[in-house]
Order: sequence, then structure tokens, then C-alpha cells
Amino acid sequence: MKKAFGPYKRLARGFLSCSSLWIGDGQLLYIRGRGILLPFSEEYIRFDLSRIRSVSVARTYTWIFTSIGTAAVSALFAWLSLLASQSAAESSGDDSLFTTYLAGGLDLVAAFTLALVLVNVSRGPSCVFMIQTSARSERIRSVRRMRKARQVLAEIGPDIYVRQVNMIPSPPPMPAALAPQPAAAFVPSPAPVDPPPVP
Amino acid sequence: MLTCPKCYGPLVAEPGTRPVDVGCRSCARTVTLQVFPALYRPDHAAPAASRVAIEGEAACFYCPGKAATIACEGCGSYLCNDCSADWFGKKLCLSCIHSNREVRGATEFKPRTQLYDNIALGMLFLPLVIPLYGLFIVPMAAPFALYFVIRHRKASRGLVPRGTFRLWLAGILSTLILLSLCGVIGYGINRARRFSDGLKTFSELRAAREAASGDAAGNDEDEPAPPPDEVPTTAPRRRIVLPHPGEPNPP
Repeated sequence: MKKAFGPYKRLARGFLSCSSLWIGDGQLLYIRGRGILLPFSEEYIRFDLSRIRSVSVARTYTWIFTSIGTAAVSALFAWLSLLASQSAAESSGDDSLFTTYLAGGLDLVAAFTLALVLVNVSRGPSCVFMIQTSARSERIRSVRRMRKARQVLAEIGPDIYVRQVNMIPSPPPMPAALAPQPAAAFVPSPAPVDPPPVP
Repeated sequence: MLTCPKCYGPLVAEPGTRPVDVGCRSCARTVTLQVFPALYRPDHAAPAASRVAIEGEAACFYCPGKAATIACEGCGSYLCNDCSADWFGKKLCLSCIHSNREVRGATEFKPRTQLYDNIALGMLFLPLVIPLYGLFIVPMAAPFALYFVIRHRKASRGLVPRGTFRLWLAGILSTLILLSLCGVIGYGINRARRFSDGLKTFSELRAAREAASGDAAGNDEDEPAPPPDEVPTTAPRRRIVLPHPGEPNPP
């Protein structure tokens, strides 16, 4: 997938390019793909930068569960491979050859799943990224890691704020009763006048 | 109202130039939140009500009784406040937005796209996920994939420009699958014919044909073959004789 096209620049890309987030031309473009493994259709959701109310990121624990699950699968295949190699050592002839190949295949699967675990852990904690406007709240599925979410937020936050500076409301006028009174001008008190002498 | 991205519970924060960490009271998560000044904008900022057009004043194209305030940047028709819409800085009438989105499919208006190259590829590859039966489904899906490739070869491939690699891959793969399917069917038909002839190989079939043609040629050169012995295949028919009138019946 290209990193830029027309006025748009890519901010994030989802798994198998099913979804992506782009910025350009005063808007955020979220491309949401629908399909199985491959996107069969794409839906384009545009957010006007001057109408975005908030961007929120919540950390999730999905990455821990998926890492544990994938590591368990890897351990299972490694154990089966160990059993197969032991069986190969004990058997002879064609059986030995078959179990040797079987152990090799199981080793490959175990190594692949272990690599998946390492990649998942190296990408860091997972998160949910949401953009909210007055009309809709949209979860951005192309931003799934905290690290990426912080990068995206650091990139789009200033742009959005600059476009909305004129929307910052001025503080409302205070009621007259509560308004601080202007300090009275200092008027030196007249010097005490001595009473006229009593004749 | 600001909401938690995980549980959609309410959040409270003030606009600022930097993101802040806020605790969600519903799910007890820490949410990194950046709020922008658009939060202060009212939810339904209704445009100023259109006023009635007076004599000699331009009226709205869609509401003849109302005064026009702007001209559509797409078609130029005069519009009142109720009939205009703001599309990323452009003032357009609703019919222009509809035609741009649904009919013309202009880039900045396009709402969605069907990715026919991915559909064709999916038809060829996704059945393989099904254990055992996948290999039988792929040849059945190949004609449909080829149809999609030919029918939608010029269709748009999405807003993000993409090459034709997937389309070509799907076309070549489906063609190869169809050709191999034809080959398998032809081989099966030939095999069935040979079995019906009682032969097993092409060489046997060829030898049998040559022998048959050789026999026919030899019969033509020599004297004609003697007629085969007449062997009654069925019992001779019994003749029934009916008596003439006035004669007694035969015993």
C-alpha cells in the first residue's frame, strides 16, 4: 500500500491492509475494509479536522492473552515434535523416516508460532483508538498499539487544535455584583486641623 | 458527551493542547484523552432560518417561496439556508452531493468501493481454508472468478491507487484452473472410452484399430468371405392353418 496519494498521507495501516488512516486536505480519512482475510469492499469515512471533538486511546489486554495463547500453541507443537523425535529414535526403517519428517514439520510450526509471539510482544501493548465528533464515534481499527496511537495523536493533535483555535469560548462576563470593584483612588486624608484657639 | 472508547462510559475532561490521562468510572481503565475546542460547539448547530422571498428577490431553486442566500458551488443554483450543505468547506446542494457520491463517484465524495480483484482472488483462495472439500470448490469457483476479472477489469480499484497485479493474478490463476479442469475432464472421457472398449492403454487401442483395418483390407483383396453358417437363433415359427367354411376342424 502506498504511503501517500494526492493530498493524503498515511498515518496507520491495519492488518492485511484491511483498514488504514490518512490525513490530508483538512480531513482525516479512515478507510474501513470489509471481508475475510482480504477486503472485498472499502468504506470511506471522512472526519473534518475542525469538527473532531476528542481523540481517545484506551489500553487493552488483548496482546497479553494472544501472546499467552500463541505461546501455548507453540509449546504444544514443540512437545509433539519432541515426542515424534523420540519415536523416530526408537523405530527403524520407513517408520523412522516418517517420524523424522513429522518432527521436522512440527518444529517448523512451533518456530513459526514462537516468531508470532515475539512479534506480538515486540509491538507493545494493544489499545482501542476512537475519534469522536458531534455526529459519530468511530473506532479506528488500523491503530491497535499504544505506541502507534501515541504517534498518531502527536501528529494529528496540533493540526486539529490549530483549526479549532477560534472555537475556544471567551470566558463569560461575570455578574456585576461579583465583579471586583476598582480600587478607590488614594486620597490622602486632610491633615488634622487644629481647632481654633478658644479665646 | 465524551465517552470511553472501550465501554462507552462517560468521561470528563477539558480541552487542552496535550493529551491527558483520565480514569473511566465505568471500566476503571486509564484513558488517554485529548479534547478539542469543538466540544463547545453545540450538537445541532442549525443554520439561520430561511426567510420568505420578497418581490424581485432571488428565490431558492428548491423552495420557491424562500429567499436565496448562496449559490451552489456545484451546479450554481440558488439555495436557501435549508437546502445547502457544507461539504468540507464547499457549499453544495443536496442533489449535487448525491450525484457526486453515488453517480459520479468523485474522489472526495466517494463513500465506498467494491474491490473486484480481491473478490476474484478470494474466490480462488478462500475455499482452500475448508478442509478436504476446498480443492473441489476451487474449480467450481474459477469460472465465476474469471467472469469477475473480465467484467470488472476497468472498474475502480479503490480510493488508494493500486496496481493491476491482483487482477492479473486472479485472471491467470482462474484460466489455468479452468484449463486443467478441461484437461482432467478430457482425460476422464478418454479413459472411460478405453474401459468401455475393454482396453487399458492407447497402444492397445491403436494396435486393435490397426488390426481391424488390416483385416478389412485383406478381405477386400482375397475372395469374398464365405457366408457364416446359418444358425437358428430362435425356434421356427409354427404355421397356423385355418379351415375353410363347411370343412371340419383339423384335429
